[in-house]
Amino acid sequence: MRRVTVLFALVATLAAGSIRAADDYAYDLVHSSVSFKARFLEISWIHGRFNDVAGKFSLDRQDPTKSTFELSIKADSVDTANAARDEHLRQPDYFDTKQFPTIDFKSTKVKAIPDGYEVSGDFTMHGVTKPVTIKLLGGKEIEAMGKKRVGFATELKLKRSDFNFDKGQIGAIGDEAIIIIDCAGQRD
Amino acid sequence: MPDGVGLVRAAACGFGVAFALGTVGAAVSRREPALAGVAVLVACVWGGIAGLLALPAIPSLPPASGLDRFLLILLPVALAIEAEAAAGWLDGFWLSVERALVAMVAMPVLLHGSVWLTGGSQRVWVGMFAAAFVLWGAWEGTAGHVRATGDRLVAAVTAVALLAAGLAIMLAGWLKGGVVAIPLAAAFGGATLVAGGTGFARLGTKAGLAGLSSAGIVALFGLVVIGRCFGRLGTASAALLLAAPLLVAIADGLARSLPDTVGARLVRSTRYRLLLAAVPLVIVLVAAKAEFDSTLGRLLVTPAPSAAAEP
Repeated sequence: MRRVTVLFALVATLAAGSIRAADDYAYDLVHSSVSFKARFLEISWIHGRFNDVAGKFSLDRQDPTKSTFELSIKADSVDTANAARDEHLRQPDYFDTKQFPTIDFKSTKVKAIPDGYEVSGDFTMHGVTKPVTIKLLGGKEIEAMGKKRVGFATELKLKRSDFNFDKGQIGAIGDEAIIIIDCAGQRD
Repeated sequence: MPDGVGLVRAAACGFGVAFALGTVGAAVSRREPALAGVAVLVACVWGGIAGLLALPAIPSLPPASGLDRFLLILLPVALAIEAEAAAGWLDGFWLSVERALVAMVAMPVLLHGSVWLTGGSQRVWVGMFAAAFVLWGAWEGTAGHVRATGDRLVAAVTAVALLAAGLAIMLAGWLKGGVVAIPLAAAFGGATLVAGGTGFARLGTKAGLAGLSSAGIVALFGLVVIGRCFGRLGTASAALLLAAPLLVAIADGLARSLPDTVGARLVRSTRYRLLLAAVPLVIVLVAAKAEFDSTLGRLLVTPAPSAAAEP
């Protein structure tokens, strides 16, 4: 009887292991960056970044379609190295951060590609949600500083006008913006 | 962002349409005084719509921002209530109830879905309650005062205060929020000119002026609230902007309650009351310009290379 119980426990443990093959990572704010650039007068680029970002991702290496990615950016944390411009960007002519405090991405479909993952998901900015597909390059896990770490990089091109930004403010700063995400995740 | 010509065109549209429709309304309703007040409010509404279309600044549907909710919900509701009052469809008690209900929900409507409500601290709720009380008092008091006295100055100063609020909000960095105030102020101004200067005054109805004054107060309240909560308009500036037309009404009301002395006549004089309204508006605009010059204005000016850097 005791052998049967041990065998049952062993099978149950193995089954649980196969069900829960994904690794959960927390967003590593210190070693990550979400930045952006937008055209200035069609002659140069204005660069900025968001300093307050949270997220998590779950990687299922056996079945990558079960992986998930989530990112939440505090729009209020916009930083273009110019305090006056940052205040302007927080106002309703641009991000309207009191009304739309976060910029969010949540994956809906993941598939493995060479060097990373192709992730489709819902991108919500300025109160508008649009489906986007990004190529996350990376995903190799290493162990460093007492934690298991993984990193990804991607770029996302979008048009502000698609996200209900005030069209009257599209001029000096162009419609198209490029969001550059370099993020690291960590787990115990 | 429209240029100066675009702003002037929008203001001219708002003023012209409100004035023209108001004048036609005055002519048509000459034998129907009850409709006179409604006509001037309708003229103001169409003036505002024409001005906003001319900008163009069309709110999105469904309303997504505080500005959308101000233009599509609060302002039309206030104008509708004042149209009811002007037409005499409801008695004073039920009008007061309607105004109180709208005043209570004004802040939650304007701030709907924003961090002010989702992360609402106790301080925010106390502020919202105080703002509702201020709105109800200002709205009810202005309507009663102008209806009883036919005071034309309150509506005129409210239109000017709307314009000043728009300029202050623009200078604080929210261009669209400020820009929409310009055609609104022009529409209120055009309708006020008709109501206060020509047909309606002669018809003996004060309802049009009362409706314009009190709906204008609600418009001003809504504008300064969204300017404060979504833009960078300061609390003191918002309070001073709202105070300008109220000071005009309060001074007149106080002076009427005093014995007919030289002092009371001075307080009631147009010149004194205009000065009373001008002081807070000038303070707000001067402070807004100084703030703009020290912050956002610098973004527009690229500093010249220093002499030391030259070879």
